[in-house]
Amino acid sequence: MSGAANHNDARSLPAGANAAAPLLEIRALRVSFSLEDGRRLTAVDGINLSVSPGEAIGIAGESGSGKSTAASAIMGLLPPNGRIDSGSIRYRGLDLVAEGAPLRRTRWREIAVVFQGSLVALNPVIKVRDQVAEAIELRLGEPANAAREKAKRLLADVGIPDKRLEAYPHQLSGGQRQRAMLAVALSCSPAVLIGDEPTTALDVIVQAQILELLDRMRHEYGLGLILITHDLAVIADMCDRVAIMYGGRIVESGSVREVFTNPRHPYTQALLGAAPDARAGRRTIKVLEGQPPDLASLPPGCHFAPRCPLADARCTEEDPPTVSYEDRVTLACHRYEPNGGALPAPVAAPYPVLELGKR
Amino acid sequence: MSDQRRISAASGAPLLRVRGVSVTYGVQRSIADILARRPGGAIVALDDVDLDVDAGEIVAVVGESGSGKTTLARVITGLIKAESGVVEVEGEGPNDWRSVGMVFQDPYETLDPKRTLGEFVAEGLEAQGLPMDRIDASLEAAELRPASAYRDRVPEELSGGQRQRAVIAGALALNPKLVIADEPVSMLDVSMRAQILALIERLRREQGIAWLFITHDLSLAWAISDRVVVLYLGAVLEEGTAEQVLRNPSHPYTRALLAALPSTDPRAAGTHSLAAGEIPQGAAPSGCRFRNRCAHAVEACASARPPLEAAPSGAAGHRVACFRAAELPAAASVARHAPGGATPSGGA
Repeated sequence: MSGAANHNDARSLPAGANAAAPLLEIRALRVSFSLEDGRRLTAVDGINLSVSPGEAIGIAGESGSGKSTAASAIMGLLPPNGRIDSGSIRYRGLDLVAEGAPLRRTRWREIAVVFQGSLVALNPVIKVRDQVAEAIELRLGEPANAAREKAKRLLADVGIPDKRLEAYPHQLSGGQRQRAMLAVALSCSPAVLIGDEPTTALDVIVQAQILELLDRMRHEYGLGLILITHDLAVIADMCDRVAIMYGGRIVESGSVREVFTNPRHPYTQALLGAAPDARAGRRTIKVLEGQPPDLASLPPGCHFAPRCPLADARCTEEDPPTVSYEDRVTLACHRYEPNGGALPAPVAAPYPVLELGKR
Repeated sequence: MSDQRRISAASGAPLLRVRGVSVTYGVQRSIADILARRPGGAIVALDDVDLDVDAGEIVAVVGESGSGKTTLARVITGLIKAESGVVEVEGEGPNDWRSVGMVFQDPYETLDPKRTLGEFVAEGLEAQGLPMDRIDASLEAAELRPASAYRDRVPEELSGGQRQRAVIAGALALNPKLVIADEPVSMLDVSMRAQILALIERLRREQGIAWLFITHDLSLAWAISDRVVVLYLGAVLEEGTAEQVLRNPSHPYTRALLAALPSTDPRAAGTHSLAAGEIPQGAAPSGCRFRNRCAHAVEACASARPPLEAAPSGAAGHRVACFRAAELPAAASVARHAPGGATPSGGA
């Protein structure tokens, strides 16, 4: 695609960035919120993540995992009671945390986001083509006519037919709105795209269409894609690497193939086993007892220990260190010894297994 | 209605019997429509739907938004009146039911935020003239144990999964033979879903409760149900056992739903959007409702509605509404491919 090919060549990096530095690198990021009663709640507790051009990273977890807070922090969209306590978010070497608010505008140009509910993200009284054109005009400073032409091409590229260019958001179907939202996100030729549950509200066939589109855009534009979702199957489909979060920490990360084939952390095992799978014909599910963690009162030691069938005294006392194995997998679990960095064999956590469909 | 159904009805009426139910909604016109003098039409939400649930059976109704599945739940629970057709439980009309419970997606549709769980369950018992000593047993049957720890709590003090258990406790108090559950777990985290599925399965096994489980999630339908009914634009396109419909699907729509489903299993990985476009928001097309999205549609598909008939599998109870079902290749040979990113790369 010609439009895609010159996409990154034409990019002028923000001042202080370095084209040779990694695309996006997050180190030891801690994010907390102040509560009404004066306490502080740590939602993201020292996570490391990186994404390269053309690479797709999935961040998975349930409520209270911190995955959406991590995305908001990267986007500079934390609510007023939230703050980054420590750590760095480097875009091409430029530390977005240290630079602070003035970079917010740059961030939208370099790092774009697609949310779950596109109806709230699109302006209801502006036609879709004008929304995309406006984004191009405002953020790239292009003249109105050129912006309108570019908007038309972008919308065609994401699959909005010409006859819908002048439609208002409410006149579009759910899938078309998500396509339009993607066009807005891509309008400034970002290098990183964050999808925060981008297909969660969609039906399965439309979800597959939007995932195909996202995948095509990632390859054509060489985007670094960060996909945040509770749905591990979407990550299996779309991503190269995955980070599993629980209680604000990354408990396991690595290539999708390695983590999904040989899940090591007991929580990863539970999450992968908890959902039945019609495609694979699997009805047995692992039942993870207990409730998702309450970030306002996390237990000491491993946050997952209260629900973990393998937990012992050490797990409830000491934080498990995050150990990197053969540069392929990171694990934060006392069950696995550092092992000199050699990738350990998975230890199966004995969850109760429910065999549904046995009549 | 099929012959098989007549036979099963003859040998003993089903617990829930839905026959020929149709519902039509008036279309809301936008201001632009009014200015352009476009007429308001009517949208058929359900068109001549038949459905049976036997005692102790779990039947899943699967469909996308706009399929009519929630309308069906509301007709069966008496919240919406059907224009035509019959809904009976144990041969009785809705006014005489004592034995049907309801669970909705959002527990707050049922729970009052100001009332304790004990008060909530008591309210249902009182309305049915049942003894109050059932409160604790109902809470514990829904795995809110010990009941004393939950009786005096209000919904806000519970997790999402516990709130849904409270709704189920309210239904159980009335000794139901059938529970209509409309997307009962779709707001819950995956680990909470597994707990509720386990509860539904246990209540069926131990108390013989039948469930009509309405969901957009094919994997849930596959796991929990004995039989699956696939609904599209208000009509049944395919039905049969979970094995028949989801392991050997006949209708191109069912196949498209399955092919679009992502999976964490490397052997099944890779989604494929076999169907074009989206479920129409307006009136259904003439002929087969699915034809304008179907890769196999031919001229004949536009001329008449395909009836629900025995599927090519020949298996008892497996029915499909597709003129071309017999000509299509077997489901196992349906092409599966992965988009570029789906091939897991070793590099970390």
